[in-house]
Amino acid sequence: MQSFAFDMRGIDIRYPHFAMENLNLALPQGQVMGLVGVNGAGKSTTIRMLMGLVKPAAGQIEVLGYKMPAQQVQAKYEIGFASDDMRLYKSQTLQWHMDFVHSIYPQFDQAYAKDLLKRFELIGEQKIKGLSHGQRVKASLLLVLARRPKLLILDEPTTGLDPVARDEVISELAEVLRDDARSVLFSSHNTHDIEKLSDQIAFLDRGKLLALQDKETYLDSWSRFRCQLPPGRQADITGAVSIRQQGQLAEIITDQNNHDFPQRLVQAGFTVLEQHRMSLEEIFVANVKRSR
Amino acid sequence: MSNIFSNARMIKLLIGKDWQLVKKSLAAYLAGGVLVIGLMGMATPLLFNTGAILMITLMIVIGARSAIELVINEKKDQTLAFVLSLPVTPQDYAWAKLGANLLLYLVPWLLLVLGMLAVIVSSPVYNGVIPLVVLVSVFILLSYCCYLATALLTYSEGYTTAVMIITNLLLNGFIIWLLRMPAIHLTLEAPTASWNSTSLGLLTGGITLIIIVLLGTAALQQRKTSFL
Amino acid sequence: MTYGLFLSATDKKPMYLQIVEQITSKVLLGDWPADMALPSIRELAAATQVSVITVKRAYAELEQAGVIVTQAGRGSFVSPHPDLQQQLKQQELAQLLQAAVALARQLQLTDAELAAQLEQQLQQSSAQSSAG
Repeated sequence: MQSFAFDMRGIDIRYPHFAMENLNLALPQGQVMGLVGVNGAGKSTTIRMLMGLVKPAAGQIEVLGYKMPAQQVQAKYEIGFASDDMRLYKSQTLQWHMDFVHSIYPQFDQAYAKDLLKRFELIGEQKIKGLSHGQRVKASLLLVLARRPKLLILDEPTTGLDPVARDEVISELAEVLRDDARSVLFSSHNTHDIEKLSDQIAFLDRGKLLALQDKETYLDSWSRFRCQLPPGRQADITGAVSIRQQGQLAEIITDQNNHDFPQRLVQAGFTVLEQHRMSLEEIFVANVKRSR
Repeated sequence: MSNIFSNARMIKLLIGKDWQLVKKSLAAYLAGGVLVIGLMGMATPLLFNTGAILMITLMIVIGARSAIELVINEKKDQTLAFVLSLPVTPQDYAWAKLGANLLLYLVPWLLLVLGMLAVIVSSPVYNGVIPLVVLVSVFILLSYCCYLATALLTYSEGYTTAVMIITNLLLNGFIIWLLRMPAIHLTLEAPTASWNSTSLGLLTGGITLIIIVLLGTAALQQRKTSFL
Repeated sequence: MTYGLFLSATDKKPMYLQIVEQITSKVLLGDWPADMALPSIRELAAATQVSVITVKRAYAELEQAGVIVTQAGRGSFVSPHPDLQQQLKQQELAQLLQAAVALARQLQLTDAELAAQLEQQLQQSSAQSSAG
C-alpha cells in the first residue's frame, strides 16, 4: 500500500468571504507537488490546515501518517515549514536561531547547516534585522533544510528573490529529489520553478481544485493552435478554452490536447498552421480567465 | 485539552527562548532597580518618596515592556508562524506564553520587593511604611496580570494599552485612597510595621484576584482554536 | 555533476524531450558507450534539477526507442545493440524526411516538385564534396 506524504479528504472550511468545500488533496510519498493559484485562491489556507494551525469544519487530514491536528506535535518533528510571511527574531543572530532549532530537533545536521551557510552566503553572527529580504528567506530555508525533514511545506519559497538567490534555493531543493522517502509541497508564483520540479500539479481557484494531475500529462493536455479558417467561418469548436479570431486566422487554446482535439480541428475544416506547447504560466492565465 | 505536561519539553524550550529574548533588558532594569533601592535607603523623606515613585515606574515599565515584547510583538513581527511551525500545539504555545511572562515578571518583581523591604528594615526609614509598600507592589502585580491577560487573549496592542492606562490611573487612585485610610495613615511613621485587619484584608484580596485572573486566562486560552 | 546534460527552461521543447535528445546524441557520438550504466532516475533528477516524473518519462521514451535498456532492480544501461548507432541515425533520417514531406504539403508542392528539390540538394552536396 502506498504511503502518503499527506492526505486531505472531504475538507470543508468557511471564512466570512471565502469557503472551501469537499477538498480532496493527497501526495504520495517521495513526490513533489506544486500548488498553483492566484492570491486568495486558498493555497495558504490549505497549507495551514496541513500544519494543524487551522481546523477544518469537516473532513480528515493525515500528514506523514499522523492525524491532524490531534497528532500535530509528532508530525511537526518531521515537517519543515517555511512561508514568506514568516519572520525570525530580529534582535537575535542567525546562529542563535540555528542553536535554538538544534535544541529542538535531534536530526538537525550541524555540518550540513554550516555548508548551507556557505552556499547561501550567510553569516551566522549576523543579526536577523540586518538581513536583506533575500537573505532572510534563505535563512528560514536553511533552518528547515538542515533538519532534512520528511516533508517540506514551502509557501512561496522563491518569491522576491533575485535570480542568483533563486538559483541557490532551487539547487538545494533539487537535492531533496535524491531521497525517495522525502516529499515536498510548495506553492509559488514562479510557475517556472513549479514546472521544473513538480511531479504533481494542484491548481486552486476560489477554494476549488481546478486540476490535480501529474505534471507531464497536465502539460501535454494543454496546447495552443494557430489555425486558418475557411472564409466567412466563425471559429467555434467544443473543447476550446479560449478562441481569438481575426478574419480567417484564429488562435485556439485547448486543455484537451490528449483527447484527439487536433483531429477535431481538422474535421471542422480548420487548417492547423502552428501548434505550440504551453508553459505553465500561460496555462495558469488561460485557466483562471476561463473560470471568471 | 492538552495539559501542560504533555509537551513539557517544548514548553520549557519556548520559555527559555523568551528568557533569552529579554534577558539583556531585564538585567538593565534590575541594575536600575538597585540604584533606586539605594535611593530609597537614604533616610530623607524626599529621597525616599522620589525613590518610591521611580520604583513604581520601574515595576510598571518592566511589565509593560515584557507583555508587549513577548506577546504583542510575536504577532506583529510575524514570528508567531515560526514558533507554531515547531512541534507544539497552539495550546502548548499558550501555556508557554503564560508561563514565560509570569516567570519573567515575578522574578524581578520579587527581587525588587525583597530589595526594598531589606533596605527599609536595615535603614533609618520607618518600618511603618512596609504595609504600604507591599500593598502597592501587589496592586502593580495585579495590574500586570490584567494587561497580560488582555494581551494573551486579544493580541491587540490597542486593548492592551488601554488596560495599561486604566490600571495606572487606578493605581494612583489606590495609593491616594491608602494614604487617606486611617489604618495605614496613622502607622506610617511608626518604627515597626503593623498589619491590621484592613491591610491584611487588602493583601489577601489582591492575591486572590491575581490568582483568579491567571486561572481565568489559562482557561480561556485553551479554548482558542486558531492562532493565525 | 550534471552528466553533461544542459537543460534549458526557456527552450520551447519540453524538458523530457531535451533529455531524450541529449542522451541520444551522447550515445550516437559514442560519449556514452554501449553497456554504460546510466545515473539512477533520482540521481539525474537532482543533478539536472528537474522533477523525477520528467526523468522517468525520458527514460521510458529512450527505452522504447531502443537507446537504453532497463533491468529491474539494477537500473538503466546504454543499449548493447551493435547496430544502435546505425539504427538511431536511420530513425533520425526517417523523421527528417517526414518533416520535409509535411512542410512540402503545407507549401502545397507536388511530389515532383519536392523530388526536384531533393535532386538539387544532392547535386549541390556532391559538387561541394568533390570541390572541397
